[in-house]
Formats: sequence, C-alpha cells, structure tokens
Amino acid sequence: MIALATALFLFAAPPAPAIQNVQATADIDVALKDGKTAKPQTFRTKRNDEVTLRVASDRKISLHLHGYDIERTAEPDKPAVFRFTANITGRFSMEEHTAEAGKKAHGHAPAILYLEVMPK
Amino acid sequence: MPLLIATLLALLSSDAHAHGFGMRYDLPLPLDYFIWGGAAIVLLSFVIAAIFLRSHATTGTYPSVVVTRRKCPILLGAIRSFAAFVFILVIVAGYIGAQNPYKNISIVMVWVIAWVGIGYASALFGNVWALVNPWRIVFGWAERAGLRPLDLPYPSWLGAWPACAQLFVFAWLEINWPGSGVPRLVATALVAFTILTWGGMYVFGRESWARNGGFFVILFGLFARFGIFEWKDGALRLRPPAVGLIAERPARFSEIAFIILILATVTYDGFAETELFQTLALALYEPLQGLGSVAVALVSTIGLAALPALFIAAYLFVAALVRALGDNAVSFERIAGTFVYSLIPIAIAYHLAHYLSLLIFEGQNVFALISDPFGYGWNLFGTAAYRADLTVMNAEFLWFFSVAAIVLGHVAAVYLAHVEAIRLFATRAAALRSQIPMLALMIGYTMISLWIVAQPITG
Repeated sequence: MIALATALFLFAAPPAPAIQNVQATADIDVALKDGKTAKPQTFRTKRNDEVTLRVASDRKISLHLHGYDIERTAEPDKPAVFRFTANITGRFSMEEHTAEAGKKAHGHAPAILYLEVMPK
Repeated sequence: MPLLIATLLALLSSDAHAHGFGMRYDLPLPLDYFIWGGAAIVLLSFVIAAIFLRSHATTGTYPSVVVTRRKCPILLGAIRSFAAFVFILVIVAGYIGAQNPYKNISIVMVWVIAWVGIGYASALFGNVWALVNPWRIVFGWAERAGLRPLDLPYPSWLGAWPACAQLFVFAWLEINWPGSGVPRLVATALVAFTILTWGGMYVFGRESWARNGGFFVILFGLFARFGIFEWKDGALRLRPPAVGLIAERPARFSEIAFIILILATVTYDGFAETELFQTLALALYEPLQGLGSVAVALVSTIGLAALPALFIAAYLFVAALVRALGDNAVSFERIAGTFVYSLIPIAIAYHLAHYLSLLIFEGQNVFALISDPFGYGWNLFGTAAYRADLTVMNAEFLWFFSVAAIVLGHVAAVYLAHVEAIRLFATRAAALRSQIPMLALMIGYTMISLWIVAQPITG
C-alpha cells in the first residue's frame, strides 16, 4: 500500500519545464523588456562548451551570472555579452544585480534565465 | 491569475530559497541513477532479509577496538576555548559586521560550518558536539566561577517536547525565514537561543537540560550514534557504522516525534525546492491570498507542519502492523519506540546528500572570511581574496555521492530494523513477518529522498 502511494506520488509530479538544448560553441540570445522576460528560460549546454550569451535590454541593466560570477551591463543599444568556457557543471541563474539586492538577505531578484551545464 | 502566480513564485522562491543561505547549483539526478538507486534499495533489502533468515541469535552487542585511553586535558581545553571564541565571534560579527551575508562570517558559520558541518562530522565520526558545544562550555566556566544552578528535577512529562519545539522553530527559521541571511537577525536568534539554553541549564542543571532539552545535543547525539567513534568505559573506541543505533531502551513518544521530525524537516527542505511543492503551495495560497504576505508564511508553516504529521502517522500505522504481524506479543509502545531508531540512517543519508554541495561550495567562503570576519576589508591571514572553486566537485560526483549515501543509509536502516526484530520477537518467523511493513515504509521514505534529488530545483 505504501509502495502504491509512493508510486502515485512519483507519477503525480508535474512535467519538467521546457528546456532549450544549446549546441557546443553556440550563441544564446535573450531580449529583456524592462529587465524581464515573460518566463525565465532554461538553456542547457555541456561541460567545456564555449558559450556566448548575449542579453539585449531596453533599459540599462546590470546582470550577474551565478556560479561563474560574471557581471556585465546591458544598455538599450549595447547588449551584454557573456563569453566563457562552461567548465563548471550545475544549474546557474542569471539575475539583475542592484546595489539593493546585494544587501538583501537572499539578494536575488527573480531569475532572468537559467543555464544548465551538464556533464558530457 | 498570472500575476498571482508570479507574485507567489517570487515570494516563495525568495522565502523557500535555499536552506538558510547560499545558492544551490545542483542538477537533477538523471533517471538512470534514480532507477539504479531504486533497484539497489529493493534488492539489498531482500539480501539483508535473507542473511537474517540464516543467521542465529543477535544479541545487540557489537565489536569495537580501543583507539586510545589517553585524555589530553590541554588539547581538550584548547578545543573548548576555540569553540567558545568562535561562538562569541559569530554573535559579535552579526551585530557589528557588514550586513551582506557573503561579507560576514556569522552566516556561513551558522548555516554551513555549524549546522551542516557538525551534522556531517557527527554522522561520519562521532559525538563532536559534546566537545565543542559552546553553551555547555561557557556555562561550565560560569559554574567554576561560582554560579550555582537551581538543579530542579526535570519533569518527566516534558520529555523531549521542548526539543521538538526547538527543532520545529529551527527548521522554520532555516527554510522559511527571510531573515536567515541577515547577520544581525541571525545573531539575535542565537542570543534568544542562548537565553533559553542557559535558562534551562540554570533551572534544571547543565547536564540535565542538555540531555533533556538541548535540541542540538539530542540531534547531533542521535547522528553520532551512527558514527564510527565512541567514548565508552574510559576509552575512545572504533566500531562499525550505525551499530550505535541499536536501541538501548525504547524511545518515548516525544522522542519518536523528535526522530521523525528530523527525517521530515530535512525532507521538507528539499521538497520545498521542487515544482510539485510550488504547485501544491499555490493551490493552498489561493484561498488565503487576501491575507497578503502573512499568507505566504502561513502556507510554508502549514507545509512544514504537515509533512512531519504525515510521516508520524505513517510510522505509527506501520508500527501497529508490525505488532499485529508479530502475533501481538510485544506492546505497541515498545515496538514504536524501538524501531524508530532504524529511521535515523535514512535521515542522515538524506542530510548528507542534500547538503553536500552547500558544504563543499559555500563552505569554501569561510577561508576568505576568517581573514575578514566583519567585512571591514581586513586581511588577517592573507586569504581575504579567496574565491570558492566550483570545479572541486562536478555533477557526476554529486549524483554518485547522493545515490550512494541514500542506498547505504537504507541498508543500515534495514539492518538495524532486523536486529531489533530478532531481539524483540520470540520466533524468527514472527520477526521476519513483522519486518514486511517496516521494509515497505523504509523503501517509501528512501524513494521519496531519491525522488527529491531527481527533481530540478526551482526558484
């Protein structure tokens, strides 16, 4: 009975959110409106891929990619470009970085996008 | 409606963010690890059962080797002084240091080094908390300086309930409290806990309060019974893992509640990061949304209370089945109080799996912070510029470690339950029959742990 309950519990799980697989040395382009996307997208790449992440924005915004700890600023006519070798596996969020956010307890605005770096 | 979802997700993801502090970068466990892990627990459960079918009487004693009989007072004194120093440093840093959680040593010390690190050290090695418990150390010094506690007898009806209440509050603060990353607020919570602990020690006596009401003492003490070192009969001894959990006496109901609360709260911490939880929380939130931000706290509190209630109900139901299948020869209190110890390895296994990335990644921040504990720009040991190296552990290692910990914890749990069954029941047939529901419950708990590790972290 408990096994059955467990099985039901396991299969009642909602489906995983849509994930975009990204090719090695691929470019990722994201456009922000007022510092946001409709829903944060997840991009999936593999370890040691060369990643170029371009974020265009209609207002000046400072962006922070967690884990890789890269910070770039996007301006209306100048997208922020994150170029790096994806040598750390894991799931990393990109968030708006503000002076205020740094002081706050959890210091995180809602994520703009997620980057998943999978093992080969 | 979309606005509601967005608001709630924003509130929940910042609230249920990541156990007290820190980012988690964990990738979900891939399906094949999950299936192999699940198959292994089922198979190994039956292997253990089969071994016990053949084995003869189990007395509950275990082998151990003496490591040393020497007690080094200078070393012990140095460890105690250092622990007390760190304790005071954490509180002072919380009040006078920078309030950015990454620039103040208090946050990483409390949530990563003390909570997660001592949990690991207790489970893997032994009762380190008995060595470094700063509340006991400082109170002991005060006694030597002339403080006389009232030493009232600890009322037996109180049992482990004060410890249960503290564990619930601690878990709530860790998982749901937005202030868990604010140094000043964490220091204030520590001061409040200090007043409670020293108050209890003053009224009931130092050791009596520690044993009965000191929730870290009880929690790390239970973890340490899994560890491979013990101090017994004037010697430090090495023993096989988990054997220390063979019940010395049946747990009382408040202690059963405490043990299951450990299992349920650490499970809840992982569960709160899954999409299923977000969906459930949203459904619960909708009728309450008129209450505003109170509703979010309410939803997370209901969730944190519901899971232990569910786990306790499931356990007591299984204990009743065990009693029935064991020919009703043993009392319900004795059965429930004995088998509950065998759930501790499952709680430890999930604790190890859940917190490894936090300990290895966020724990590295302590190297920089010892040089600049208050965030003043100091560089006492020349390590202030150290940045955590996230390549020290990759996703495959983390996956392998998680599955290995959960499977081995399950094996230890099944082993302990069989030892207890053979000791409790008169015939081997009754003992083995009684283990069917217990085995089902353990497979259930263990599968939930694996399932949570297999979910993507949201928020």
